[in-house]
Amino acid sequence: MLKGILDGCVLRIIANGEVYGYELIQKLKVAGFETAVGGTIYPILQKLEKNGDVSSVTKKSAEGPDRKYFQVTAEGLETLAIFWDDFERLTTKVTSLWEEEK
Amino acid sequence: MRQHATAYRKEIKQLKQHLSAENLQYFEDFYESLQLHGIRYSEVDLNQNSYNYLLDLVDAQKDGMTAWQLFGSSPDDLGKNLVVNMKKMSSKSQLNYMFLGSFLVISGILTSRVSWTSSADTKLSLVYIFVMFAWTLLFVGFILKIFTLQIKLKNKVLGYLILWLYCSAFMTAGIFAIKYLTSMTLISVPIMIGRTIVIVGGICNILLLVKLVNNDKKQKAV
Repeated sequence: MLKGILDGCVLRIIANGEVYGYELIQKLKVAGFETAVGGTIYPILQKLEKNGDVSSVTKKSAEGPDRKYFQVTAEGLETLAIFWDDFERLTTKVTSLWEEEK
Repeated sequence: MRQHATAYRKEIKQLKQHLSAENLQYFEDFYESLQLHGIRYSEVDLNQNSYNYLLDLVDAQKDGMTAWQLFGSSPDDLGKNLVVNMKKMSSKSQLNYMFLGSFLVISGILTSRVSWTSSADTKLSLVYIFVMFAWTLLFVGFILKIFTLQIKLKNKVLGYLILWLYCSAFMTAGIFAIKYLTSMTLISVPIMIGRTIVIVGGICNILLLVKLVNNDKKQKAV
């Protein structure tokens, strides 16, 4: 269950606005995922793209050459909604278990 | 925007000049790993992704990061992890490579059999030619699968061992084929026809190779 949490966070950031790979890693770091590295994030991006949750478009960046930007798809928004429901249910269960054991 | 694999290769070459020696070494190793493990994958996809990872590395370097800090794993592991999710080479392309392998082997056999100095007829074994054609077809087909298996295997030594055993089995089978099959079902081919087959076959092989290389170059990134 915990395995997909980073995928959900990546999808959430992309849903906020299109990003390119390095920009996404930086945003994750700012959000508190200091250990986020390309070796973990790029395969997630590939998986999300393969599943149709994100699409990519190559376009000119403001600072330099053309690069690949990732955008969320309608399917991705549905996946994100499911992720959030699952995550809320999980946190409720974990919190109640935590409180009971205190 | 859509670009060819060669266009991405050119961009990669230019962009690499912006890397520090350490980051350049990392990227070279990573790119090599992608090419090695990506033999069954779309060349455009490999180069397009490599180019985008390189762009990220150049940005990270500007922020004072090293390639290791950005990617967080060895170049080889990174290449292996990324290649499995990339687009595979089309079945048609794979089949073309299999046939090219078989045609090359048969051309080699014919070239070695047909005499260019004497005018005596050439004796050819149809069974030997057919077996070598089919065996090479299978060899190329399976070796592409072995390269994919190598990526999935955690043990690198085991991957190379499987590859070595597979190639050895092919060579051994070839030696046995030469020993036992070359004298079976012999047909006599007039020397001029033999020479014509060798020349036409050689031209066909070159044309097929050029077509395959051009197809790869023309293939577009989606």
